Parts: sequence; structure tokens; C-alpha cells
Amino acid sequence: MHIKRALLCGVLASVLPQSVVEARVSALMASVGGAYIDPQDAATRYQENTGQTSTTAAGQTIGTLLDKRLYLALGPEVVTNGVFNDASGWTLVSGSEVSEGKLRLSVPSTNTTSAFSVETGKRYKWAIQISEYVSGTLNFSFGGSTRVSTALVGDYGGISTATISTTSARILSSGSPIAAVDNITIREQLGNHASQAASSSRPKLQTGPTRVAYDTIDDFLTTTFPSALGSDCTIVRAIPSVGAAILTAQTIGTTFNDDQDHCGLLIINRALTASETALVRQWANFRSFS
Amino acid sequence: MTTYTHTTLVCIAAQQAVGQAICAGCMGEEGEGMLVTGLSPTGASPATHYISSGDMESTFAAALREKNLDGTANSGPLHALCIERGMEITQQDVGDFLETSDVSDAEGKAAIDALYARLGGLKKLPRTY
Repeated sequence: MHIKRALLCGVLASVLPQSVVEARVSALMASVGGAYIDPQDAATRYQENTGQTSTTAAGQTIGTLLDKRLYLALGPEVVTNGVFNDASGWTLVSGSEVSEGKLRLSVPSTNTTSAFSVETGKRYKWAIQISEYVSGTLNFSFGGSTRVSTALVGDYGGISTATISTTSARILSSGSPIAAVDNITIREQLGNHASQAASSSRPKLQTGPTRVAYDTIDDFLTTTFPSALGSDCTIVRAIPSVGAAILTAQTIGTTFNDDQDHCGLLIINRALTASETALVRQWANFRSFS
Repeated sequence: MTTYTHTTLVCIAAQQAVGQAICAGCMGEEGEGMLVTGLSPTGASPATHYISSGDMESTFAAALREKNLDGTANSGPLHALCIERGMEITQQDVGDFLETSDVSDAEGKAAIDALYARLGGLKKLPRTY
């Protein structure tokens, strides 16, 4: 009976259109622990591990592949009054003021802060707008690093990992600053993302089929999990121009290093049922040739 | 905006720690975790060399490639870059690293295999990281 059901599910899966298979795999991945790594989705690809430049063309590096398991959802806003309706939420020092909906800086070494909390190891999507500028240099920092240091008007942003837990965002100006800052936002990028800090170890995007391609020398991407996934994990890889490769009963701790080319990678913290296995095999086979 | 140059860097095992310090010191986070892929004539431990191959910050990549007129490595520009970026390292140490390292444009399997052959028939060790 079980065999018949499994065969039936396999047959049913084989006739489903790719869009339906993709939707069902997304739903499956949203219900499990692990990661859903999709190099064929441009919205998940960045050239650096700091998520500042999208990977859009073949040959460009991949420093980050976001986990799609939670539909690229963001956590709540952690900055209070990042749009500067007034000065609430900000500690202003001499030379900084809020006026006309912007934070204005006019004295060197001004250290204007906003109280909030980010946690070590978590990844945050951030943005800041330097809307008016005359002189000096502005640095915007949180979570243990300076996220942008600039002397140019513009919109800046990225997806960065907090290396220490901090309780404030800081805007530091130097030189002879005269500038206005607006629209500061910091939200957690939910999920277990794959990334590589070392520029020389980043794989590249390739097409025909669209995939992440490792150099077989020293390239790899590391996915970090908040806790060990255990000893009964399933790994599904869409091997370029080949098809599905499914590994069962895998032991995965708090990190997973990937160095094999793929058109899609599922890391799942449990064994799959027969029907789930048929579904992910279909998913991987579609992707291996698209 | 940072620009990058594809570079393949091979150092001897005795210079791994110095090389890693130079890479991280000059390129910050983007230089951390380099030179961890081991090589040896048999493909088994212990590693006699370590390799990194891929995009490296162009300023750093250019300093690695600086040569004197006689073709030997010119450690001056790389040492100057190390100091500029806050490292405490002697030019002698930078020179020793460069003199015993191989810097090339090698990219792709055929070029890397040729590089391994040129360096005495090196083979890659299984990944341990």
C-alpha cells in the first residue's frame, strides 16, 4: 500500500507544472528547519557578504545567497523614528539637530545615537540616505562595524552581520561636516543565509543553467544555523545539467559549508516522506536544466 | 567602490601564518580565511603549500605582483600597503613571504593544473574547513 502510494505520488509530481512544484517546495521549506538556497532567484544574490551589490550577470561573484525558507521576510524595525519626524528616539549632541524632517550635522566628531538592540550573529538589512551634503565625512555604524563611510550624497544600504551586540546606531562626522541624514532603517533579514567573507573564496554566477559555480580550489559558502540541525537531515541539490541529488541521514551542526555547483540547494533538518522526496526530486530536476 | 583582480596566490606552509596576516591586514574582512586550502606532492597531509585563488582587492593584487628589474619580488609596495592599513610587520617579513610565494593570473582547471605541475606536481588536500 505504501509502495503504491509512493509510486502514485511520484507519478502525480511528475506531471505538475514547475510553478506548482516551486510553490509546494516553498511551503515545505517554510515548515522545516534548515535553509532554502536559490541561486536562480536574483533577489537572493549579492556579490559581497555584506549584501551591498546584487549579482546580476554571469561571471560576477556570489558573496551572499539569502535563505528563501521564510520568503525573504524582514523582522520588525529596530530604529525609532528613522524618518526624523522630530528628535524623539535620538540623542543629539552639540552640532546636530532635527529640522525639516532630517538630521542635520554641522560640527566635527558629532556622535549622534539612537537606542536599539541588534544581536551578534544575526544579519540585518539596513539603509541610510545622505540627502544633503556640503563637506566632511559621515560614518554610520552599528553591530560592531562601520557600515558606510562617505562624503557623497546618496542612498546606501546592505545586509550585514552584527559581530557584536550593540545598543545604538551611531552617526559620526569628521572633517568640517555639513550634511543631512534621513530614512534610516535596520531590520533583521530572517533566515539562515549562505555567505563568504573572503573575496578570493567566493563562487561565481554562471548560466546555462543558472547556477552557483565553485572554482574547486578554495571557493565555498557557509550557512550558519542558530543550533545544530541534527543527524537525520536531508540535503537536496539540483546538479547542473544532471538532475536531483538527494542525501539522507546527514549530520549537520551549526554550520554547513557548500562547495559543489548547484542550481538550488535545500537543507532540511529531518527525513522526508516519500511524497516529499518525490516533490523535491521534481523540483531539482526542473532547476537543473533551467 | 572596491575593484578586484583575479589572482592565484600559493605560499609555502612555513609562510602560511605570515601570508594570512598580510591578506587580512591589507584587505580586512575580505582577506580573512585565505590560504587555508592545503597542497602537497602526494595530495595527503601534511600540506607543503597553501593556495588562494579568486578575486582580490586590486590594490593588494598589484602589490603582490611588483617585481624588481632582476625579476625578484619587490616587497616595498606590499610592505607600504601593510603599514598604511595599520599592520605592524617588517619589510624583511614581507619580502620573505613574497620570495617564497607564487603569484599568477591562473584561473580555470587547466591553468591551475599547469600551476600545480610547475610547482613540483602539487595536489590538493581534502578540505578540512
